[in-house]
Amino acid sequence: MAEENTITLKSSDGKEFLISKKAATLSETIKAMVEEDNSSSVFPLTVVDSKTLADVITFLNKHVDCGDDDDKKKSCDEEFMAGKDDMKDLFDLVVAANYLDVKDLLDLICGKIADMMQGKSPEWVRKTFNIQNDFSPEEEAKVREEYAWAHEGVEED
Amino acid sequence: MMDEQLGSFTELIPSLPEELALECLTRLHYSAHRVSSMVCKRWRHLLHSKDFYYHRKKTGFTHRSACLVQALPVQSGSKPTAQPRYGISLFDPVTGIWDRVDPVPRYTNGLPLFCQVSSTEGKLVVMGGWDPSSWEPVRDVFVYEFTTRRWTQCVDMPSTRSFFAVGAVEGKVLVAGGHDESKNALSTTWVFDVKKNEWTELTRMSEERDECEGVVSGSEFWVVSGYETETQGMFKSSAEVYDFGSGEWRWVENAWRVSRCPRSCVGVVGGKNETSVICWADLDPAVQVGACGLDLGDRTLVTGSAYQGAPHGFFLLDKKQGQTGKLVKINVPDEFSGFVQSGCFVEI
Repeated sequence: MAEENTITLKSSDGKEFLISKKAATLSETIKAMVEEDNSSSVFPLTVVDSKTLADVITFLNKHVDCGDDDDKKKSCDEEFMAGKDDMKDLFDLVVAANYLDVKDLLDLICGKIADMMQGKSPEWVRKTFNIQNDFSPEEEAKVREEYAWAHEGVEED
Repeated sequence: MMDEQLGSFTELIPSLPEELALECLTRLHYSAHRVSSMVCKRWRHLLHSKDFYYHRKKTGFTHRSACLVQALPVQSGSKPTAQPRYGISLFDPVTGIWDRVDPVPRYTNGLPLFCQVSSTEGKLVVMGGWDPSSWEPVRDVFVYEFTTRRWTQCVDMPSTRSFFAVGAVEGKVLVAGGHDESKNALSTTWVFDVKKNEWTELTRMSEERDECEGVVSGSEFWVVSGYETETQGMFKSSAEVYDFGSGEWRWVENAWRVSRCPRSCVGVVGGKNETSVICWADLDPAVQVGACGLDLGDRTLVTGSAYQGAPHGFFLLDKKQGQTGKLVKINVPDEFSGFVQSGCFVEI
């Protein structure tokens, strides 16, 4: 029966998503939940909102379709990441990936965040990630002097 | 009190749990480290710390590249008979990209001849050699940090030593053997602590070994072959092995059976207790002259010529195929095709 192969995931804001067991259990956290409670078919995920959960489910379904084909996974991942550059969305996704224990997704998002910093100025990184510049003017001058040439090849803001 | 503590704690990345922020920064390519360390004090402290290097290494985000002491292209206008100048080239086996490391500040016109290079904790250490203009032996020690792209001059070598063995493990560089300023073969061994910038003498080897070669395998430092003062050029077949754990030397008979100079062409194969030594020049006739081999993890870079005066060839050997694997020739840009004198791998 089809129902036996699917479960329902419920987001923190109460939305329900139907997903195959095979895709859902790519998440180690969900796998453990399902193993522990075989009789339930609805699993509430109190820390993942519906927008993020929809994204995670897209990712899991794509990865089930790819199977063990690494090249296919790579192009799926690229497709999945296309246009994802809102920092809040990325943070939500990485927190969800960590909570749900989906290593491939965690790797993908952390790698994306790291790649965003590549070739950027310290000012850009501070602004984008909301980081306080805590160097005193003297320290900053010293650091700048030390790295005067470090800005070669860095994009202007 | 509590508020004060919370106030003084700055997150690596605001609104991201610490462990996830660390996951992100761990994946930062090393070429972005120097600029990123200007973002704030915490990032600077983290990116410069030894723990961060080992964390990256443990989680598989460091890369092995080959670092080669290589003859630089002849400058136009200079006499073709002029002696070659040497520089340091970097080859990334994954991307296939070649690069040149900035020159050592004191030797902008070319490295000391026959200087020794080694690498530990993502740093490159260049020591000894002969001044390229006077041919006088030098004791200089320079350390290059790939993440900041800076050279630092360190404490000199404790004595003059040429053609010695070198090997590095966990922030320490060992030197053994070679010869002194009067061409006396040496058995003495010293260790340089890169972080402390400090030299310490270790137990010496049981024999003198001039022109020996050093290679590190696990926690062992192999000093292979070499010859005594009185028997110049008669390369021994024995090796001595220093165990970093116990701090003791052991003797290995018949380790080097090829009675030739071991310089830059010694490889180690096998694992614990079964380590043996091979000569890269024996691998293929195409590299039988001036061979140099560098372990790059799952691949080995082997360079050399088919005969004296032949162009230098560059090959990769897939380690999965074992020692019998075929050398695969790689194409190298002209400016990186010069003779490779020696090298080491760097894990950055």
